[in-house]
Amino acid sequence: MEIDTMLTLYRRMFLIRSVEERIKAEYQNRNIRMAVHLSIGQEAVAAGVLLAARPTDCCLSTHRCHAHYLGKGGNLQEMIDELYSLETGCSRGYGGSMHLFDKKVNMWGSSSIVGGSIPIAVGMGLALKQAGTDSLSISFMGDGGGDEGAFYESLNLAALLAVPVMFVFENNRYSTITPQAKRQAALDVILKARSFGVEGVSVDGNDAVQVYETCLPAMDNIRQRQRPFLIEAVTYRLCAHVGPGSDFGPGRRPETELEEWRSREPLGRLASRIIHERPNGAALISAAQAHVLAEVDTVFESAKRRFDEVNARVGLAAPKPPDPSRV
Amino acid sequence: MEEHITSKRMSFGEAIRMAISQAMESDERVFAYGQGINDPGGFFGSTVGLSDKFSEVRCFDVPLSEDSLIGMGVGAAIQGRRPIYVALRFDFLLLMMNQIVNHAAKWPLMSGYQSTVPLTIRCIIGKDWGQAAQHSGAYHAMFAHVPGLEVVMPSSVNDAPRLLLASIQSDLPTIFVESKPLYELTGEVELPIEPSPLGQASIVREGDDITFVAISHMVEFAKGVAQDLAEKNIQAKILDLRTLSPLDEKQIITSVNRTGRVAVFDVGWQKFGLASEVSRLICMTPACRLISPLVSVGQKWEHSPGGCFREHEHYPIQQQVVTEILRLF
Repeated sequence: MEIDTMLTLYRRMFLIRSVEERIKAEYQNRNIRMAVHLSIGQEAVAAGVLLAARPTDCCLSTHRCHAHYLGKGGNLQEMIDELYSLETGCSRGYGGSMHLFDKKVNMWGSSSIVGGSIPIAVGMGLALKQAGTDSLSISFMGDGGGDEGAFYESLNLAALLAVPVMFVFENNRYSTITPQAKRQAALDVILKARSFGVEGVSVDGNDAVQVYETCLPAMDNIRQRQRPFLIEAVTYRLCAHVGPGSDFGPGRRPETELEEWRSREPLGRLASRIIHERPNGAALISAAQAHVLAEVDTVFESAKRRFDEVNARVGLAAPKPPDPSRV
Repeated sequence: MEEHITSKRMSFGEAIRMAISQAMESDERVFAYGQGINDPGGFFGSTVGLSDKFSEVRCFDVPLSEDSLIGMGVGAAIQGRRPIYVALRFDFLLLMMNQIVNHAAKWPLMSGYQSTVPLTIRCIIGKDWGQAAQHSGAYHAMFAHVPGLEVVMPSSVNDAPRLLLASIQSDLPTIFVESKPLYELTGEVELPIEPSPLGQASIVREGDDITFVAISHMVEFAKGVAQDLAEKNIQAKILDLRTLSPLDEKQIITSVNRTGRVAVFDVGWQKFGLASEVSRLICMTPACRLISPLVSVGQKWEHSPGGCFREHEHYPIQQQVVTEILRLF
């Protein structure tokens, strides 16, 4: 892979990671007044899939949509404004963290009803086909989406009506803290897709290069053949299902698993590869990081300042401090 | 340029088909889909021949996957298409609630009103000939309760195609509610069909003594009651609401202010329905007073029975309604 492509992947992943780390840090100030579902640990899926996509391809997501929005190239300031409930937010203050929308980059929104956006993505693909374009629809879902009937109905509809849609089955193996094996009798989603007439492939979702290199020919294929395709990206969420905390420990996810997946987290892996392949790799990465961090800082400071200005007018009471007994 | 307005006598099903055909002809973004849509019977004639005329790309049969079919319609609509989904019965919309309420109705707002959902869902309320509890449901009030949805309920052959055209042209998701008794009607339809604005009631009959607020096939029923009352020198004004949401509150209030009496003729049940909404409207309007109790005409508070004798008892009976209204005077 070209070094430029690897660096682009890295920049996008680092942007997603930095934004989410900053959300975690700011969350204690209680002015991001909404639930946030972080993708820390899953950045390679959003970055790899969406770098392989064209700007004209249309994307839909789930409640965990920050990474997909940023991966698609959604406006950062408007996203953070949305998290700070500002009218200048990407969804004009109506959507919030779970409903990020940026028509300019064909990010068409997301549903916080698990599985809800899957059939909608099939409809977007149908419309793109009817309009005679060679664009495709990209449907992000989690393994929880695979519990829902809508997922299977959508596989059937997409195959039956020959819809150009890429199903991205982002398998982080948990619905909140309930493992996939406790929810699904058969785990092989590729087999399930095939039985509905949808071809698919499973990849290491923490390897951005593999995700990207798998998606590129798969997407070409969808465009040419006007057929759906499913990619399963196996990954792991390093934060809690919701909020800035963690959900590891007795009765929750096992700590040992966290250690295992931390060692496989996607940013470090890509950085090692870049450094390994290029003598100046470390310098290139540092430069990319500095650039992103400066941008994130500017954007958050601007949003926070304007939040304070609005609240000086509206006068909402300070929210209660978070309950430490809840994760 | 000389205008060529003609009118043609046709059945309710033909009028609906004419509206879809005209919409598809004038706008390539319009497509229709539904379970059995291309069957020879074609939804009581309302979709017959559409696939021959416009190809099966624009009028296609689908699997029994209600929720995802509506999701698919939402997605196509978000991308600028104008889908028309056809459901044989209103009851089947309950299988689509997640997509209708959680997605279609909320998508415009969730996108900060930067996205529209021009989706039309046609459905038919069953009545008579043993429709039984699961083919006779009239859930329009449930849908009208949800912000972001339009609920359209035509009562006549002339109005139905005009309202359907307006529904297809609307940028909001619209539930277009037909009823089986309407398919017995024939009437004159003006051609070409012009869309009729949503949210405007029409005055079907003038009268000063009592206001009848009616929808769908209950407009015909209300006409029968009004005729009987006229023999007793009581003149009813009949308002055909035509759309439940948006509701023509102004015309209801104006008329009730004048007559001081009101009877509501609903296709659905009497509780938490149209009569409740009309009552809310009257009670909340300053100086709007009733001089006698509101009369609520609709289905009894249970589901429609399948056997013909019990079914007969279930729906309002004209003579009983006339007697009830006469007691007000």
